[in-house]
Amino acid sequence: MTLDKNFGQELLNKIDNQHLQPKPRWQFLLKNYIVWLLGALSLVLGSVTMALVLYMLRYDELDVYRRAGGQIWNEALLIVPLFWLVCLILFILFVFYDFKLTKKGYRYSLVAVLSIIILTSVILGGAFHLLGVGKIVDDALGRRAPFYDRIMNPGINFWSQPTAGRLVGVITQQTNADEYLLLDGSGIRWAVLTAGAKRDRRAQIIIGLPARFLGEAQDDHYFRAEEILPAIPSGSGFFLRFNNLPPPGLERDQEFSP
Amino acid sequence: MVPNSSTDQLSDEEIVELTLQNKDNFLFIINRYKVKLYNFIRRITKVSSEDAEDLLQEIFLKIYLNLNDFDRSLKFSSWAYAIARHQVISRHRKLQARAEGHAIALEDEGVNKIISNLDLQKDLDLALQKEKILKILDGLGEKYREVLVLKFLEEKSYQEISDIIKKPIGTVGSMINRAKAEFKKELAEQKIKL
Repeated sequence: MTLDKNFGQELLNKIDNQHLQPKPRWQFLLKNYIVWLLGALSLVLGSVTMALVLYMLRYDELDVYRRAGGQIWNEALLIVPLFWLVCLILFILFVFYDFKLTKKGYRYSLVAVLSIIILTSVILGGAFHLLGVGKIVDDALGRRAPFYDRIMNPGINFWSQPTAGRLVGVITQQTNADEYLLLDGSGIRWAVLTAGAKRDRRAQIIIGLPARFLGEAQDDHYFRAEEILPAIPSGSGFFLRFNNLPPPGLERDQEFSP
Repeated sequence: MVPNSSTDQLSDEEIVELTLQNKDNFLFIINRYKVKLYNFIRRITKVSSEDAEDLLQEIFLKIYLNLNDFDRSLKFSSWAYAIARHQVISRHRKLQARAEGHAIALEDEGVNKIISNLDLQKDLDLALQKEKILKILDGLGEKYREVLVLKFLEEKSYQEISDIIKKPIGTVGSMINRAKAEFKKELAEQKIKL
């Protein structure tokens, strides 16, 4: 041990000469509050993401995609809301990292911390889903988010392919007993003929709301439906991007005029 | 400033409070910890005594500046060691470039502690035995060397080591076990008889 005898006094002199003071307590408290606040915020955002995942997965869509001619891997990619799952994982990792930055976060094991974060996200996300938060957020994003139909909800893109026999859009008018006008995601108006079409028990055609069909596109934007499917589980806000849409639930034969 | 004679009765936490009222009381913390932290620096990194002293000064300045961040639910010594460790790690590369000799400085007392804690045979020639132990510690990975130093040379509890290296207590336990196993494996590989 070769430590200078005057080490302590020299250090105190240095503190004196440089007018050093302990950093104020509020700085550390503020940092702690920010860390906890960011963690709580990320946990809530992660739970909202979980609510979106649950909202988008609320129907069993596998059979419908199979009938629509999807390939097995494509089906999985379309049914599972990959974008939101990736966001959910990122939020969980952020909460985990943030928790480790708290004063005693290091004391808890990776498995314990991750399990609690995931469990909280599932419980809170489930509650948000039951409260309709998933639908509210999906509708809001559908109306405004760029690339919504390609990244956040690629199912819309898959179903917006009339030449492949798949059509999705908002019903704007019922023109006959078995004929409807539909506005698709590109803003094209289609006449959909539903005579003789099979109807899924969950399917409803309501003016002002999205509907989905399997069938065949004909000339002049006519679409002969072979099957009336329930509307896709999410994305109803997307179709509201197009102005001039009727309010949902207009009576039959009532013409909607913007 | 509190009279010198009465500080022996005071806990670290009480001296911290007194330092926040009068900076001169920081001298008591320095005197209480300078040798311990100096040895700790020399044990976990291969730096010259001059570099270790510079590092020690930086560590005490950091402790002083961050006194208001000390969490009273922890032991002050754990907090001080954690700052020392962090400071050593952050300057490690720079200091290691000028390093010479063994990875750690080991005193005779330290040799005896390792021998008894790792159930090794005590040799008559302590100097020779010390050289062999240093050779093995040199060959160990940094994280293993660090926990062995904290456990057997600094004689810290699992909870204290957890608070110093910022890892869960279970991880500390398995790191120590692995470090002991590595130490014994090195013994066998280097054909060293103790």
